[in-house]
Amino acid sequence: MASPSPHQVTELLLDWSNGSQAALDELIPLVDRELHRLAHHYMRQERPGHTLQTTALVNEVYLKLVDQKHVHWKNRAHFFALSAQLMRRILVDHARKRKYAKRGGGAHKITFDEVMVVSPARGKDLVALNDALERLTAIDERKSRVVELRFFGGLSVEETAEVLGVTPLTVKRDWSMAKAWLYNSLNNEP
Amino acid sequence: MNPERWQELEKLFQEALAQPPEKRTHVIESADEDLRPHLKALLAAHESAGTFIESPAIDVEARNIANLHEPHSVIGKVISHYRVLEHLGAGGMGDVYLAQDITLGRQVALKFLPSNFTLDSERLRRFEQEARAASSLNHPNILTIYEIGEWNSCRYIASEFIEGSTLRELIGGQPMKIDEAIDITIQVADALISAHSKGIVHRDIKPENIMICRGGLGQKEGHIKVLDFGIAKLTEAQSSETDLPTRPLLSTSEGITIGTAPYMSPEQADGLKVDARTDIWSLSVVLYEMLSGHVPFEGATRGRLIVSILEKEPRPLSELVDNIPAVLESLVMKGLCKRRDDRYQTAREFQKDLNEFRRHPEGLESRLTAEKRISLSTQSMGRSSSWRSRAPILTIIGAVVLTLFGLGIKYVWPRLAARNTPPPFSKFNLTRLTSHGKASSAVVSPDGKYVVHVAGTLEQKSLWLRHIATGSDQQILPSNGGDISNLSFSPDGNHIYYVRSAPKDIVLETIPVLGGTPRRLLHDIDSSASFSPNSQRFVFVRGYPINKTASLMLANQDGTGEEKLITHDMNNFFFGTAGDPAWSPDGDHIAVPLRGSDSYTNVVVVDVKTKTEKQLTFQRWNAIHSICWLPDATGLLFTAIDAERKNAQIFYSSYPEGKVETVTNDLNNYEDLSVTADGTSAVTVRSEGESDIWISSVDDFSNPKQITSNKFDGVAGIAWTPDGKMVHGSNESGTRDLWLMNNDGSDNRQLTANVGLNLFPCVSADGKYVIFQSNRSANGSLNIWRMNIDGTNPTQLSFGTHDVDPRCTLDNHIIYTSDAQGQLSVWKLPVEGGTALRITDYYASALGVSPLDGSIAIGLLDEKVLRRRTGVIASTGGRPTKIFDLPALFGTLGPGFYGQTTSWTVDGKSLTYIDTKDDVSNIWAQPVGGGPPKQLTRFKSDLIFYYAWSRDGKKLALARGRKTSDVVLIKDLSKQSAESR
Repeated sequence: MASPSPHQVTELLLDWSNGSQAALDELIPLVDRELHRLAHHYMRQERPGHTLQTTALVNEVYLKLVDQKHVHWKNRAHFFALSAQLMRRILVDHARKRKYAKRGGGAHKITFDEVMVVSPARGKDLVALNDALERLTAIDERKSRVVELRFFGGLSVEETAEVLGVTPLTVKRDWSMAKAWLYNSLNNEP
Repeated sequence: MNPERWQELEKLFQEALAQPPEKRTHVIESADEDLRPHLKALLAAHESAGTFIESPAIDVEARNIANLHEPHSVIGKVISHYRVLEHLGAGGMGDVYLAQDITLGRQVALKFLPSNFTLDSERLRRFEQEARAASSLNHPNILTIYEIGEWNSCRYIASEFIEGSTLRELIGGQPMKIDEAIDITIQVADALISAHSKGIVHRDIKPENIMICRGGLGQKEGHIKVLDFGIAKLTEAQSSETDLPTRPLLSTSEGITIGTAPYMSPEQADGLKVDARTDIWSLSVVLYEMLSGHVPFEGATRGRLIVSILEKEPRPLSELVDNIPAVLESLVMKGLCKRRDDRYQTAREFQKDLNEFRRHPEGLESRLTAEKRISLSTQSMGRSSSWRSRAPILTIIGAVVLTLFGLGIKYVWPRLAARNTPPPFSKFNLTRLTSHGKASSAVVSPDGKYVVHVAGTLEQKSLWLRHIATGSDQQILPSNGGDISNLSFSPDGNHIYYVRSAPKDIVLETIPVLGGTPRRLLHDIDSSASFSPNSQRFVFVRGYPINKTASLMLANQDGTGEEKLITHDMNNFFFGTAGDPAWSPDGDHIAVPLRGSDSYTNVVVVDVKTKTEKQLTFQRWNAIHSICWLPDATGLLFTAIDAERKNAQIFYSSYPEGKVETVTNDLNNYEDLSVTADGTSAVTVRSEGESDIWISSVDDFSNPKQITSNKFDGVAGIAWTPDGKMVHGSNESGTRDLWLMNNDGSDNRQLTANVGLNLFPCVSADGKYVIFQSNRSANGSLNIWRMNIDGTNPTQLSFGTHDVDPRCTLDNHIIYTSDAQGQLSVWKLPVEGGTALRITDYYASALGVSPLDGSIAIGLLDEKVLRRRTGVIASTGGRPTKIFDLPALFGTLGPGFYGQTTSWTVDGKSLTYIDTKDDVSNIWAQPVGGGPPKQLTRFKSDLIFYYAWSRDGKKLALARGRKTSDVVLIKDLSKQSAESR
C-alpha cells in the first residue's frame, strides 16, 4: 500500500483539530502504518544494540504528517502540537497492547534480572507515565503539554517554546518541575 | 493542591535548583510545613531522575514496533566470534541473545548495549570498569562473564548461559521450606565471600538477581547463580541535565529503583557509601522473605519504605510463620541490624552461622544470645561510626538537654561531645624538624620529647637523636656502611630498635636512646619491630623467598622464641618492601598491611590469640608503609600510596569501623610514621623535590644547557614533538599539569589546567596529539587520555582502573600498562581510540617502544629470584625475546614518585636508563645486541628524574634536580577545635 499523502494527513489533522472524531479514526491507522514502515526501515539500517536514529525517524514521520507547503508558517506550531498529541495516543496504545501480550503470553523463557533482560515493566511504564501526565494536566496544564510536546512529540526546547508561545527558559523550568513531579509520582506513589 | 500553592511550590523548587544540592536546606526550611514534604520529594526526584524521559518516547517505542514483526534481525549472523542463535529478550539496557562461541564451541548469553548507552562516556566508563571488575570473579555461584567486547563499535557482554528460574518466581508470597531457604542463602553467601575478597560489593542482592538452575548443561539442579555483580552501580543516579536532547528513557522505565527498594540497606537508604555489609543486609532481607513470604520492611510509598528500613524493627518471624526456631530468628535479625557494626561483619561469619544452624542449632543459640547482650551494651558506650552525619542531631540533643536539665549536663555532655569529635588529625600543624634534606627514617619517643632519625646517603647512614624542646642533635650511631631503617622505640622509651642492612644480612639491632653499644637481636627481618604494650614481645614481618611465603613473626624482647603468627603468599606481604606491623595498645591485636587478591593493599587486623584475620579497610591502595595505633585504640594512622597517585600520604582509619579519612593530601611523599603515647603528635619523613629541564647534544654530553629554572619542570615526563618542541609534566601550577614549550624554554604554555593529575606525555608519530595519563575522570581512576597538541579536545581512550605510562608507537598506537584483569600487563590501543588489546599474558609493565621496529621494552618480574628485570618483546606482544638486568628499572621521579624511565636510542640499538648512585644520576645505554652497558652522561651532582631523546636523535632532554627529605612533626589540632566549639 502506498504511503498516505502528506496532503491527506494534513487535512485529517485539521479536521480532527476541528473536532471530528471520524478524522481521528481514519488518521491513526494511517500514521501508525507510516510509523511501522519507517521503524522497520531504520531498524534494518541499524547494527544490533544501536537505537534508532530517533531524530531522523521523528522528523520523517512529521514530514509525512505535515504538508509543509500547504501550511502557513504560523500554523506550524499548531501542527506540531497536534502531531505530538497524536503520537502520544499511538505510542501509549502500543505500550498498552504490548503489556497485554506480555501478560497473556508470559513469553520469556529465561530470566535474568531487569538489567540483563526483558523488562515487562517497560510497556507498563509508558502507560503509567501517560496516566501520571493526565494527573499533571489537572494541576498544571502547561507543564503537561511541555512534556507531551517534548517527550511524545520529540520537539526541541525552542520548538516547544514556539508552540506554547512562551520563552525557552520557561519551557526549561516547566520541564524540570514536570520531570521531577512525574518521576516522584511514578516512583513514590503506590 | 490549589493553583496558588502549586505556584508557591514551583517558586521554591526553582529557587532551590538555583543552588547546589548541599545549599538547598535553607530554601527547604523556608517552606511552610505543608509544602515542605512536597518540595523535598520534588528535589529528591530531581536529583535521582537522571535521564528519565529525556529521550523521546518514540526512541524506545519504534524499536518495539519494529520488533513486533522483525525481532531477530541478527539471528544467524556471526558477530565477532559468536553465531547468534536465538533472541532471549530485549532488556532496557539492550537485547540478549543466545549465541554459540565459534572458537570455543560453548553457548553464551550475548547482550548488546544500546548505542545511546555507549555514547554516554561517563556511563560507559562506569560500565566497563564495573563489568571488568565483575568479570574477574570466578566462582561457581557467580554468573561468569566471559568477555566484554566491541564489534563494529557496538559493545557487548558475553556471559555464561543458564536455564532456570529466579528466586522471585520461587518465593511467590509463600514461606519456603527452612532447609531450602538456608541452602540458597549459604550458596549466595559463598558468592559474596568470593566477591568481597576482591573488593566487589554487589549492592543489589534481591530475589530477581538470584537464579536457581534448572539442571542440565553441566549445571546441577538447584544450583544457585548470583547475577550482575557490580552492575547495580550503573543504575545509580545518572547525570541530571535537563536539556540534553536524546538521552535514554531506559533508566526509569526499567523500574529498577522501584523493584529494589525493599532490599535496600539503611546505609543505602541514607545515601551513605556502601560496603560488603550492605550485601549481608540485603541477603538477610531475602532470607527473611524466603522464610516468611513477606519482606521485612514495607511502605505504601517509597518514602515510607525508607523510613521503615531506617527506623522500624521488622515483625518477628515467629508472628508470621509457625514453628520458626528462635535461633534462626536471632540469626536473621543479626543480619538486619541497622548499624553495620552490629551486623555480621563478613559474609563468611554469616555463612558460618547458617552452617552451624544446620548442624548444632543449640550451640549457635547460646552464642547469639550472649552476643546480643554484649552488642547492646557496647552500642550505648561506643563511638558513633558516622559522627559527621549525626553531629547536628547530637548537637540539638545536647542543646535540649542543656536547657532542660541545667546542672545535670555535666555528666551527659562529655559523652555527647566525645561522639561529636571529628577524626583525629583532621586538623593539624606541621613543623619541619630537620633541614639537611637527607632524612630517610624517623620515629618519635612515646613521651614526645625526642625524635630519632636516620640521615645520610644510601651508603653512609647514621642515627641521630633530636631533643625537640631545645632542638639539640646528638649522633647516637655513626655510619659504618649500609642502610639503617625501620626505627621503633621500646614502649618505655629507653631503647631504640632499627634494622641494619649489611651486605649479606639484614639484622635487627637495639641501642639505648642516650647512646651505648648496639646489640644484635635477630637476623632476617623485613619490617620494623613493634612491641606489645608490656614490652615482653615484638612483632615483625619476614619473607621466605625460596618458598614464596612470608610470615608475621613474634619474638621475645631479647630476640629469642621466634614464632610464626600468620603466613601468606609473599606477594600478600610485599609490595616492593613489606609494610610495618603495629601491636595494638590493648595487646590483643596486630595491624598489618596486606595485599589482597584484588592486588590492593589494606590494613588487616590479626587477633594475637586466635590468629584470625579481619580486614579493616577496603580501599585501593598500592602499598602501605607504616601503621600506628592511636593510644585509645579508636583508630590507626598510616602512610599509604593511593592507586591513583603514586605518592604516599597519611591516612586515618577509625577502629573497629574501618572508616577512612585522608590526613595529608598534597604532592609530597610521606614515609615512616609514629605517634606519641598521648596521641597528640606524629612524626614522619616528608620528601619534596625540585626539577628543571636541561638539553644536551648527543655528540657531547659534557655541556648540557639548562632551559627552565622554576624548579618544577619535567618531573612528570618529557616528550618531543616532531618539530622539536617539548611537552613536559610540571608542578608549576601546584598540581601535575602538561605544558608545551620550545626547546630553548621559550613560549612555555600550559596545556591542561584544573583537571586532576596529568602525567607522562608522549606525542603521536604525526605530532597531532599528546597522549598522557590522567585521573581526571569522575572516580579518579588513572586512564590514558588524548588531546590535540594545543591542549584542545581531551578524549578518554582507556577505561580501566589503573592505566599508566603511555608510549606512542610509530604506527599510531599507544602501548601502556594496565592492571585490568587483575594483573599488571602491557596493553595496546589505537591513538584514534577503540579496543584495547592485552599483549602480555604475564606480569609486565610498558617501558619504551623502539623507534626502529616497534619492539617494546617491558619490565617483568622474574618469579624465581623475585626480581624485576627488563625484557624486549615484539611490537605485537608475546614472551620476551631478550632479558637484561638493568640496575634501575624505575627512575626516581621526584618525591615518592616513580615512573618507568627506560627508553630506546633513536637507532633502536640500545636501551637507555637512569642509574643513580650516591644521589647522582646518569644516563646509561645497554646495547640490545649484547655487550656491557655504556655510561653516556657524566654528571657529578643532582638526580635525573626523566629524560627523552629528540625525534632526530640529536638531542637529549633531561629533567634534573634534587630530592629533599626531612623529618616533620605533626601536631593534632582536631581536639582543640572540637573543644573550643
